[in-house]
Order: sequence, then C-alpha cells, then structure tokens
Amino acid sequence: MSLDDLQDGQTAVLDGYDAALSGAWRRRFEDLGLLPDTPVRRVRRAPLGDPIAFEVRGTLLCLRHAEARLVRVRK
Amino acid sequence: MTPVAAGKDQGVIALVGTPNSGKTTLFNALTGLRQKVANYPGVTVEKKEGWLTAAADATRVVDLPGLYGIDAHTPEEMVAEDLLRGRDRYDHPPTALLVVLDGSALERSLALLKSMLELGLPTAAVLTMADEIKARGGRLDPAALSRELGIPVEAVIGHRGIGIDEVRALAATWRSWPKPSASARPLTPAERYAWAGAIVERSLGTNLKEHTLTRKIDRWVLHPVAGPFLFLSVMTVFFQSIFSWAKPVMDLLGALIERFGGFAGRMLPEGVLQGLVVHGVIHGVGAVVAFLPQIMILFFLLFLLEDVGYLARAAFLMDRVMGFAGLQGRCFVALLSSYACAVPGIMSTRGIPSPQDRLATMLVAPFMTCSARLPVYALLIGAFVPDRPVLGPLRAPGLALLGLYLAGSFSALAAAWLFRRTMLAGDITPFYIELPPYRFPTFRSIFMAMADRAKLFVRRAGTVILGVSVLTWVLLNVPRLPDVPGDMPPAVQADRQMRHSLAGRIGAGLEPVFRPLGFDWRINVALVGSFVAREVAVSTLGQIYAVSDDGEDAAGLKRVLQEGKDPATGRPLMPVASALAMLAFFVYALQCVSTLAVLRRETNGWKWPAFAFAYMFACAWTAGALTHWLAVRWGL
Repeated sequence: MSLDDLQDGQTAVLDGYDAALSGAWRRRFEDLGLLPDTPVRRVRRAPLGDPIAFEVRGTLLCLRHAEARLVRVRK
Repeated sequence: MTPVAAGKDQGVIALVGTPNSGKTTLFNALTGLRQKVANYPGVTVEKKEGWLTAAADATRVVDLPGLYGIDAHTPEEMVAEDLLRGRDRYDHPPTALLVVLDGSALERSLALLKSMLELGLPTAAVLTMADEIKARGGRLDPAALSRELGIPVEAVIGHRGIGIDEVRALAATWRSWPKPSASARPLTPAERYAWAGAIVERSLGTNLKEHTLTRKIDRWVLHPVAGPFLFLSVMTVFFQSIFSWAKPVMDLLGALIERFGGFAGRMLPEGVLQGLVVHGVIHGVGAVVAFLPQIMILFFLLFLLEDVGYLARAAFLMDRVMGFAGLQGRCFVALLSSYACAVPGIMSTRGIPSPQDRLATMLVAPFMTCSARLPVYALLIGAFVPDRPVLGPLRAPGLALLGLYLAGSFSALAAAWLFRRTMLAGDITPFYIELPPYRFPTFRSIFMAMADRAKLFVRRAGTVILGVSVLTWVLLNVPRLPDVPGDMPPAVQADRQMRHSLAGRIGAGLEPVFRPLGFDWRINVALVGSFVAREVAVSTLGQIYAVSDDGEDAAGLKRVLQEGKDPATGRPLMPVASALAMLAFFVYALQCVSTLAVLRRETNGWKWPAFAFAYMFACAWTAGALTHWLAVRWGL
C-alpha cells in the first residue's frame, strides 16, 4: 500500500519509494526524514483535497496525493 | 554585498540550519544587523552577512538559506551548497560552521548537523526552541548534548532573549572549536538519521509527547469548514484594518504636511522657487509619505501572520487553489509576499524547485496588489466610494479595496494557468511543505522588520519619488506661457500654463491612446510618471490638481477629485467613470522600474521583463477601457 491509502489518524511504517520518483526527489524526501522503517501518521487533508498533512518524526509534513502515492508503506 | 578584502586573520562563520529553525533571529542577535525574521520556511533567499559584534577581530557571519540536506534542489539552496563546498565564485568558503539545532525537529536538525560535520570545518551548535522540548515533556541538557556530539552546544530561547550572550561569546571563540575529521565518503540520509536517532534517544531518554497546543489549534485552523472560513476572515480583517486603523494617523500626517506646505509658502518669496518647494517637493513627496501608516499596518500584519506560523497554513489551504492554476503552495508564498512588494516576491521564487513554476510565478507576481498601489487605491476609493456600512462592521471602502485585491489575485492565477498550459507547459514537480509549530511572535523582530520597510519607503520617497516629483514640476512649468494681460481668472491661467508645458504636451499627445479609458491629458501626465513607480501618480495628481484648484487652499486632493471642475470647460476633472478605469488600469499595469530590474536579474536578460511589461500593459488598457465603457453605460 502507499501513503495515499492511509485514513486520517492512521499510522504506517515507511517501506520504500516507487521507481517513478526521480533519484533527486527521493533524496530530498529522505533528507526530510522519510526513510525506511519511519512511522508516518496521516493527520488530515486540506479542505480542497490536496495536500495531506503527515506527522513524521515530530514535524508536520504536507504532500500531495500524487507524491503520497509514490511512497510505499506497511501497517 | 561587499566583497571581503583578504584581511588579516579573518574568519567567516556560516550559520547553517533547517528552514524555520530560528536561524535568522540568532543572526540578528549575533550581528545586530537588521533582517527579516519569520516563522515561514524559505524566508532567507539570499545569503546575508554581518560582522560579529562580540569578536575583537574582524569575523564575518553569513546567514545561509535554510537547508534539509547539502544537495541543492532549488536556486536558493544552490547558494548555500556552493558556499559550503567552496564553489562560490565571489566568496571564500567559511572558516567555521555554526549549526542551528531546532528543538522542535531535533532529529532532522541533527541529521543536517551530521552532513555539516562531514565537511571537516571547526563546528559548534546552538539549540533553539529548547522551551518547546520542555513543553512536550522532555528535557535536554546542552552540556550532555555537547558531550554526545563532541562540539560546543549552547541553548537559546530566541523570543525571550535567553542564552544570546552565551552564543555571542561562543561565536567569538570559533578558532578553538573542534574540527571533526572529514569522513571518507558521504553518508547516506539513512545513516545520518540513524546517527541522529541514537543521539536523540541517549540525550533525551524519553519520547517526546505530541506538540499538543499546535495540534489543538490545527484542529480548527485546518478544519474543512472552519479552516477556509477562518482564512477568509483573516484576509478580510487584514484588508479592513489597513483602511480603518490607519485613518486617524493618516489624517494627522496629511494635516501636518499641509501646514508645513503653508508655512514654507509664506517663508519663501513668491515665484519659481516657492512653486518648486511647495508643489514639487512638499506636496509631491508629502502625498506619498501620508500613506506610510497604511503600509506599516500592511507589513505588521504580514510579518505577524508569518511569525506565528499562520502563513504556512495558508499555503496548505491554498495549495489546491494554486493547483488549478498549475502552480503549487510554495508559489502562494511568493505571491503573498508580492502583496507587500513584487521585488521580494520575485526573489523568493528562488525557493521553487520547478523552473516552469518559478518563471510563471515571476511573470504574474506583479499582478498581486503591492503596497505601492495602496496610495493610489486609497486616494481614489477615498474620493469615490462613499464610507457607509454594507454588512455589519464591513464598510464600502474596505470591501472595494478587498475587491481590487481579489481582482489582482485572480488575474494572477488566470495568467499563470494560461502560461503553464502554453509556453511554460511542463511536468508538475513533486511538492512538499512543512507546517511549523505555532509560536509566540517575536514583536521585537516584527518591529525591526517594519522599521526596515519604513526606512526603505521613506528613502524611496526621498529619492525616486522626489526626483520624479521635481522633474514633473519642471516639465509642468516649462516652457512658460507669456503672461496674458486681462482679467483671466488665475486658475484658468494656471491650467493653460500646464496644458502649454512639456508635460501637458506629452499628456495631450497620449490622449488618443487613453481616450477609451476616459483619461484626459492631466490623468495621462500622472500615468506617465507612475510607470517609474506607481505611487508617483498620487503626487503628480496632487501637483496638477492643486494648481488647477480654484483658490489658495491646496488641501484635500480628495475633495478636488470629487468636486474639481476643469477651469476652461467646467466639466468634472475626474469623472467617476475615469476614476474607476484608472483603478482597473492600476490593477494590471506593470508600473515599476524596480520590478523590471529584478525580473531582468532573475531571468538573465530583457526578454521576460519586456514580455511581462507588454502583456500587462495590454491587460491594463483592456481592463481600463472595459471599465470605462461599462461605467458610462451605467450612467456613472
């Protein structure tokens, strides 16, 4: 499953990235702390649907559905 | 930025930290240099520098843009990476690194610290937001953290000024900071975070609780219904207060300038000098300076919203709206800054990773209602929109102003949409944005930033506006018409002189171009001057109508606009339809030399500034003509 499949308040553990995400962007997301085995909790999405706020390592990070789909997670 | 002479024994300390880590507050404290501080990721777009106040010898402090890692993704991060890796063409690499650790995002800060340690430079760290760790049930001893990291660590609480002296003292000793051994190969982010995680675990011991206050506030601020409602309320209050709070101070300033003009008029002998000083200098510059209170309120509110962390939420709420235009939430920040001034707005696009997004944002940023339009809007709205309540506390002038702001904003989005679908088509690049914890605003830094803006505004009034104002006065009075003997009223004579002058001829020559907008030669004169800087229109109208006005009292440009009659024909000087067309013209036209200059610098050439000027002029002319036509049809 991907980060995009989470419901509000659900937590999952990051597994890896979809190959569609370029190397440079993958690197940026890793610099932001989105690394394998990191717990990620979906907080809520914006009123108009995009982006979605996630809690990662005590910070609030917002991604759009398009990027969240490229991040693989497990329960 | 002054290049550094190869001085003796000179040090360069680079301040490094994640975005929004309190780095800029620290920079201000270390150097005493004034600079904008804000609770929004990506405010420092250029590296800024100052001199360390505590050091005996010359030590420079460079404030770098916030970083998440050393590999640059955006033009602004490139500035930091180039300097840190010694690739900056204009500057030496730093001799020491002061890394700012954000207590509210400690792991990420430590991961960044690790990549800085890999550079092998003398390094020390400053822990900011230590109070937030405490609020979340943790305790972090800087001494223990220092032992863990093997480098000196000081803790500060920026908004209360705690620990600042210690950091100053620490910075002065940069030569004795430990120099970590450069690692053989760069670590991966996973390895850095593993290192950071272990340190956090050992030095904090316990898991931090959630940032409960921020979460509680966000439950409302980001709520699907309450969130947008609050956003619109904030924006409405924002624009309403610009008008209502400023009014008493503006009236006072206006009266003072008036009296000063009268005083100068009495002190000087009648003649050319008196005219130049009273009309060219005092009324010209005064007409613009009178709007200082409104501009201060605009900046105060903008800085306040940034500082408490609301602007990042606004970007979160607005991202989808920007998405309709093919842009992203980050562009919203640049566009919002453009409400103050398009120049910093265009510069802050350096934080936008996608080149197409960036260029589209730069090309539409001048549509956002900048503070230089405010004097023109305020004057025309004040004269032509009756001050009556419309809805509860909302009054007609405030709503009219809000309408002009909305017109500019929606046009910017529409233009961006068009560009992103035609000449700037391209992939949508990944998007991320961070929402910082809510913080108590640092009023000291807000007021410092406001004072900076006030200084810039007054300096502008004293140089550009003064220059254009004096030049306009000269052009309005040269060549002189021979005195006509007889009983012609002075007002008619003055008006004939202006029409005969160089400026009057230019204005009359432009009449065919602007006739569909309902502009006569007088308005055209004001328009020509305003292409240097928009607010010049106010001072030029002041000069023209003060001269046109019957009688001694040059007071109340507003009243002249409302009631003034063409001395020769007896028709209104500023018909309502022309005033509305002028407002529409100012919503769209790119009348600002500084904006053109910054566009040229950021795009490396005249092609894009020329394009922006041309398409915005076309929009402005069309909007003005349409407004005039509609207004006349409706019998205004």
